[in-house]
Amino acid sequence: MLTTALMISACHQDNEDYMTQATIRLDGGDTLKIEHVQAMAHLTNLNSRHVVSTADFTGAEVRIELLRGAYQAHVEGIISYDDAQGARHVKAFRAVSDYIELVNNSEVKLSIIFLD
Amino acid sequence: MKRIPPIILLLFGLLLSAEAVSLDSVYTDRFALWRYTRSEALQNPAMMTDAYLKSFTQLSAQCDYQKQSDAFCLEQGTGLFMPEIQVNSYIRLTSSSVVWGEAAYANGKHFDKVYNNVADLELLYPDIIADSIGGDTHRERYLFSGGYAAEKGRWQWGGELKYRAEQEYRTYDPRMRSIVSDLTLRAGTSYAVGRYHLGGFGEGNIYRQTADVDFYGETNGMGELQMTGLGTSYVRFSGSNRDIFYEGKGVAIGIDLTPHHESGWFSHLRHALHQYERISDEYNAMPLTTLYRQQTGITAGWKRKTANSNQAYLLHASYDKRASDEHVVGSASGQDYPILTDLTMYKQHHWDVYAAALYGWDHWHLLARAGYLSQRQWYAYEERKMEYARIYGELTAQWLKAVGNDLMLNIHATGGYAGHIDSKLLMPFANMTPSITEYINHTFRYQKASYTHAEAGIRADYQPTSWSTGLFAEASTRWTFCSEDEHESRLHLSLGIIF
Repeated sequence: MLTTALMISACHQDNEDYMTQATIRLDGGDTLKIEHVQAMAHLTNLNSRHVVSTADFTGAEVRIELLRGAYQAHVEGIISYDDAQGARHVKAFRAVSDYIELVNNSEVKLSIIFLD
Repeated sequence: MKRIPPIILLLFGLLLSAEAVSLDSVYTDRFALWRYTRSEALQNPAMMTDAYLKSFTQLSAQCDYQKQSDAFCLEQGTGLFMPEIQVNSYIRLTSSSVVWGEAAYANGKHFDKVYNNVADLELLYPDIIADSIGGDTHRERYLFSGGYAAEKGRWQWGGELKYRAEQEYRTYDPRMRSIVSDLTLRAGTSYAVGRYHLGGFGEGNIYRQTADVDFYGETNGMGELQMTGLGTSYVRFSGSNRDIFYEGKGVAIGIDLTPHHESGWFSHLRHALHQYERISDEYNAMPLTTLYRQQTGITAGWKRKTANSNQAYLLHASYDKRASDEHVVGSASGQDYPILTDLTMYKQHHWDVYAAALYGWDHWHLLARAGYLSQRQWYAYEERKMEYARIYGELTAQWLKAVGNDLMLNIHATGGYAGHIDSKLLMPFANMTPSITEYINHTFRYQKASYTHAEAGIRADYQPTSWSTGLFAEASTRWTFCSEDEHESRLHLSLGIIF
């Protein structure tokens, strides 16, 4: 019994690896080349409903440090892109997902839709 | 009339006085503050072989009443009314073996519990189910325990089993109902080395509680919060998810060094680990959180007992850590929810360190204690902290004596003060709802307060020499005054027989 107790006493370690660096990449399909994004990305933790927001896009992607977990994502703003013919467009867009897993330096693609 | 020879009168007087001393020593053995120096060692069932001088069985009916002018801890409510019947027995079978046991039944009420809809808050905090409405609860408890210990040569060994069954419920919305079963098995041994007993024990515990909350009123269907510490909750599975159960298990070990004849050095070390998993019934037995609790306590001291006086000095330190892992649940696949990862979001560190001195002479005992107490609670993200520290001092006096041959009195009084020396609160108030903000502020208000308490009690045992059964009555009261201008009163009454 003593041995069992001592063995179990060494079992639990606190899980303190709380944060992860997640990358959200906007996906406009093969025919679009995204140049600039000016948008707010809101990530809502499904466990706590805590919302993390950022507008710090580099090209089509944004990197954000947040608590590891399951999230809802909502990105909305203005996008500047070149179409297949090389013509530049600026349009309003939205990209959403009701469930993404951001656990271990995850990269997630979100499909965009244009609002006009 | 024939005169009785003086020598016979003298012998008769001596016998009576010897009987009085004997009764006195038995009574002192059972009730004197001196037992305080042995209470931890007696956690080892092997040490029970000489726990008491004489066999006894006590049957009592008792009642505890407690009322606070404002809840010092919202989750525990403003007080309780708890009548109980109890049987305790300690019987020496042979010169080297004993059995002991206890059976108790209590049925009473708790007043105005808020933010807590489970039983056994002390075990499960912070992983409880809660709402801001709360109310009075009914509580019913059955307790059974028994043990056996024997000695052979230099060895003593013993075993003990304890079982507690309990239910707590509310008869109006929110209708909480918790049903608890709690089984503990303990086995220990000790070996006589020189003037000392060196002992050790191991303990295993199995715990289960089912807890659900119902609303019968159509307009009362508010959600329940799956609390995760310092006002946070597992929002995703709160609301209509109101049926949960806890599965717990635990182990403990202890090591003791105790002198044979109540004089010498003594020490006691206890280390216990328990874990309680909170599982959702409504999501296919999905684990929501697991609470890991680690308790370590060490006591070391020296005592000496002589015919005229006894004295003991000891140092005690205990550390109690709670760490709650939240299981981050993924997207459902069929009926199963995968666990993505575990995060230790809540931690609590509780320290209690004190020095105590006990001095007894004639029919008196004095016990003085002074110590330091601190508790730190922390939630990882968004970061929350609640901390407090107190220093405290307490003096207890006891007068214990056989009055004549029939009546024995035990009168005691205690006074003490716990003063706040440090506190800290860190909360993301901007992101908190008004009700949770109020809950946190209320909790912190009483954690950072100072407390003064006074207690007095008397127990009288009446047993004429011609009776095989004695009667006893006991009454005690305790008053606690908080620096927040609130107070608590407690009353304990007990009546019973002892044989």
